[in-house]
Amino acid sequence: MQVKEIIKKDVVKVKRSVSLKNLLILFKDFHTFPLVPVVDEKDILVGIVSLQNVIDAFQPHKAGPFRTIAFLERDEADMFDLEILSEVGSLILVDDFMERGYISVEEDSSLEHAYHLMKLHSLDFLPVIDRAGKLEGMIGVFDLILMLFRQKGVLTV
Amino acid sequence: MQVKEAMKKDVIKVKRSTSLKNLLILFKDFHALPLIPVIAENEQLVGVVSLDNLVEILKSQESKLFRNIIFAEVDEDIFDLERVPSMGELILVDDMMSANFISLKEDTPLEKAYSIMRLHNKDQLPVVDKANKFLGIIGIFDIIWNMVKEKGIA
Amino acid sequence: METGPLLAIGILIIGGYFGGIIANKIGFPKVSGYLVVGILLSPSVLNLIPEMLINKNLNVIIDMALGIVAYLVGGSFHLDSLKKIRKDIGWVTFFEASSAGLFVALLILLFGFFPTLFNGNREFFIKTCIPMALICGAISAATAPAAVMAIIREYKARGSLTTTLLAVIALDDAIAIIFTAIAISIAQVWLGSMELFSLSKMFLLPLIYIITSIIIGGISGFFLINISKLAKTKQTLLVIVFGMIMFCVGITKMLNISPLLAVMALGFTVINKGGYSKDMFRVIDDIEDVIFAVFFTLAGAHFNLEVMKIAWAWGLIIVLGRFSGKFLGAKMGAIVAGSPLVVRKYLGLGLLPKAGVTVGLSLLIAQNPNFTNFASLLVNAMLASVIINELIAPPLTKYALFKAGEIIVKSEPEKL
Repeated sequence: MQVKEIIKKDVVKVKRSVSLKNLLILFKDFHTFPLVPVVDEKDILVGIVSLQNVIDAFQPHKAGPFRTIAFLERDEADMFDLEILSEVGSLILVDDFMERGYISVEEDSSLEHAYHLMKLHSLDFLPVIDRAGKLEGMIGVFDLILMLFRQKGVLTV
Repeated sequence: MQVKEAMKKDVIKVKRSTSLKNLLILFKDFHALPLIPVIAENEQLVGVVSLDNLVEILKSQESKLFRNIIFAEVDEDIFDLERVPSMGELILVDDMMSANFISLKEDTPLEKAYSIMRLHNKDQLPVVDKANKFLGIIGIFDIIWNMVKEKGIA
Repeated sequence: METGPLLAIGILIIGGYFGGIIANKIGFPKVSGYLVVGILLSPSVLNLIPEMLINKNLNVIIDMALGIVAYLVGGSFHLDSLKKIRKDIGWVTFFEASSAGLFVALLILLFGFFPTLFNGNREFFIKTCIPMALICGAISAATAPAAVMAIIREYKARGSLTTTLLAVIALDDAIAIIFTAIAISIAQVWLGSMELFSLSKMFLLPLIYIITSIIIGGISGFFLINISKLAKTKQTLLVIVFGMIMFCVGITKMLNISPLLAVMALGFTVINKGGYSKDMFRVIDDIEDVIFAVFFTLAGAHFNLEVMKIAWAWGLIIVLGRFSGKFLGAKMGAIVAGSPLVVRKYLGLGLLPKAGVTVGLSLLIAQNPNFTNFASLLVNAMLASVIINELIAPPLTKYALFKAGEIIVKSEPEKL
């Protein structure tokens, strides 16, 4: 079975130029933050934003060039004590804190492969792209589980 | 600010006796499985069901037995297991829920709740009152959203 | 120019990595791959790792790895799940483990006693054979889950034999570790008190060692539970858990008592008294693979061609004793417990594979300063027995499951 058969096509996606503030507003009714795909004008997947990226966005020492320096204190500064200017929300753009080195699957990959990737990187979701890199949708562990139960006749509706 | 002010109260709950099939039907249109509280009489919280518990069911009997055994080389193949339709009725929430779980008291400050969630790598936790009565679920993004609002960012 | 310890560790890990992958590809557990690569790297074959490092400088890795094993094994003893163990499983495990140990010990004693009839060399018998018999016997209780699991998975075996087999193996390693810890304590006293031998001292002193070790582990456990609450991230949690394991191993080694039991008690306390403490084991899971890769490859590197010329016979003796002990013990236990006929008949054959814990424990003996006079012999005998075992035990397990009718011969035509 291929990824495209259980893919969720209707997902919230954002452009690089979206501000942090607008991104947060987009998800204000969510309790958890999903994996958000970032696309360019032609719908080509260029990055993803995870909860960790959002948290890091509030912590200046973790954004940008410092991200990869070893031994830099990895403990998070207490988010509640950080002095954050209220303008920050409009100044920081998705482009500044999104993950460029993300993992994705192609729509014709097998489900086994997709699950293996999610397991290996402990991710609950993966963006799905076509050959040209265009975003097709997302696939989640729960979609996969539902499919497995459906396949075996446990879930019939 | 306390947890009870930011939590979500209106969540789907299940009982110990709910079957796997009925649980799946409840969530069949979800794309991501939320944390499901398991409630006894008097709204007491007795367990939680998460995505991990569902993945567990799909694993073979052996790999469950060997979870804690060293050098067992359990490879976690959930595609291989032979499943029968009747397992939908046979497996109950009681068989798969985590009875040993973390919960937050309603008056926990959000700061504290946030650090507990980060430490244990959880993005949702159940909230209870002093008598362990279930009140709601708090998600990590609920906390972040509240902080953001307080600081006037959004 | 000389190979330093870090270069050696690098070579061991990279070599082991490939060994593990190749072993998995051809249907063996990863541990076998690590061992074979280790043997290839050893001074007797490719000579890539200097002997000095293998026998001395890298000993700290052995303590580290065994400490982690014991911690995880202690953590698998969740009281709630222990209560769920069926009674018959308890009986069968007790019988097969102790009779395997007994048979191995007796055979080694016999084998060692035989030459003394001709040359009258009693010293060899007393100082080498008796402690070796004790320790090898204790180690022989272990069974390797990986090999058995692989067979059950491959052939989709199911039935009462399969279930019993899995439940028994799950307990075997823990029993072997406890047996070995006790055997080491007794052997240490035995070797240390050659002159003033008294029976009460023989048993009282080891008992004191054992109890002290468990108390140290228990206290450290409570301490760990409390100070771990200060940790705010998983990374810091790992820092303190790892630190505490090392502390426990170190202090018991300094006192010359049992690190294994102390760290097992540590894990046991954490899982049972620590509330939501799964994460305190999960963080160790994240680092265990690399430590085990270097550990088992290092174990293989203890291979010594000269010693092996004598040791293979001892290895054979161990295999023989263990096979007959497991077979008869399982049968007896199954009869006592009133298990079904297939279990009585075939369980023993299913329990023969061994690898990881066996090698681990023998390395622990080898680096114990009390046992230097037979360290190399013991490790090589155990290596030989593991290799012999690796070749004949899995087919026997397969045979047992097949005979019991729990492997169904595939009727579907081969896929083209």
